[in-house]
Amino acid sequence: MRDGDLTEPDRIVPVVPIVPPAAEAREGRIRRGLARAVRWWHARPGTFRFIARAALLMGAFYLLLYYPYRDGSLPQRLLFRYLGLLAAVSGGVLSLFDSSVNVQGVFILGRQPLHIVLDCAALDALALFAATVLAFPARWRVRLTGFVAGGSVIWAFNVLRIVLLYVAGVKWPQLFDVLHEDVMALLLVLVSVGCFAVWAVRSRISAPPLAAHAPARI
Amino acid sequence: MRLRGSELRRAAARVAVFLLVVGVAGWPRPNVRRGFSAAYCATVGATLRAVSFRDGAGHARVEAAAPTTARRAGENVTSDAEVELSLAGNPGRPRLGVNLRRDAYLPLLLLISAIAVAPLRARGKAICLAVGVPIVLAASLAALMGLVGWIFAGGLGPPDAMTNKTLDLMVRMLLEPPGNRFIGPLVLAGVLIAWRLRSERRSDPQWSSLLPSSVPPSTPPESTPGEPSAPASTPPSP
Repeated sequence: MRDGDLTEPDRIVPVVPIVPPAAEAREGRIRRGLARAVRWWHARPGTFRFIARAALLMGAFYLLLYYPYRDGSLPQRLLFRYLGLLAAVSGGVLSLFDSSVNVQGVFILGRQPLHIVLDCAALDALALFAATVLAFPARWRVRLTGFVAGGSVIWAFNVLRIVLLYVAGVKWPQLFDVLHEDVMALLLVLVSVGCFAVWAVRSRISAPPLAAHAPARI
Repeated sequence: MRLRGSELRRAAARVAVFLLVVGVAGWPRPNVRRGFSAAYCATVGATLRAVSFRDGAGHARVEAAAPTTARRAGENVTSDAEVELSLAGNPGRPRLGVNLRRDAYLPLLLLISAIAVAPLRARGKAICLAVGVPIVLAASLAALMGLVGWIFAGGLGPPDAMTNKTLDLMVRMLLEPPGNRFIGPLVLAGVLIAWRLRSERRSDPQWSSLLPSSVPPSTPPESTPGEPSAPASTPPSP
């Protein structure tokens, strides 16, 4: 028998899966493309990566919160319950000063009736804060602590905003719309940005020196 | 990077100046509101006439109007300008009040104030303003166009009257959240300031000498994940 004859009985032929050359080439191209994308991503400055991550998270949160859900769907019911909770807490605070206040669902009734809708819920400020904190390169425990603490501050400020709007509606009605449209919405965003800035600085101050740990890479 | 006490104090002073400028210039004054609205409608707003909606049948224009301090019936904002809608074959010209102070003036003020107090050289600030101001104005015009397009697509009617679901989603995500008008310019200012700070530090010989010898000053220094790209021994910001 000649050397290399495939009919030789004791020759071991490795079993190679048959992959069509076109599919193999396509797979290789995808793998190389992914590797290039990962290399490109890690070569970007840290600031760029942070902004890109935060923007993606912000988009995802907004889609989740502001999507026009069908009436009676689970997300819509959850959002409605959240608005009801906000109305109940704000109404509870207001009833400490004004006994005429009572809450029915998402309505605060009293001398200045208020209807709590999605735009009143500070969801944009909360989404901004959550996106920036979660995108920030810190340990997960630090991020979660910051998220809970800052989220509570923003939530409390929003309750204060609703209380102040009620008081303005009762005492200074001419100021109500300016406060509602401009001032309070701007303050809420500034509180959100401020919470993030304070948290980021604190997480930097309390972080151990660079050599002691390798920060998480997302 | 660890922040020193002096850096924190300087940053706090900048934030205080920023808040002061926004508080003073953003205080609601009817004459400032009227003047800005007139200037905006005559310049940026004038381009709205060139845009058509509903396959060319719908048009809109924005005109300055006397500022109101309380909402008019059927509107959900106080207004300092009015958008007039017209549809070919329809004699009616409905008018819609818009709040340009909220939609354009305050966003511009936030951007300009943030850049003004940033630790940048005058040239860097000028570049940031030259890039940022047109973006904010274009975004405010895009918001107006989006609103008009949304109304023409059935946005003010019952939910099933809406003919363009994508536009509806965009309006709900971008125009409805009240904070977006302020988040956008603040984020834009942050991005522009970070960009100019980085490029100023790269061109500064004091900074370039601190870069590792393997990294040429013209290329971005390799940053450690989780850390800003500045060297560990950060000198005080200019």
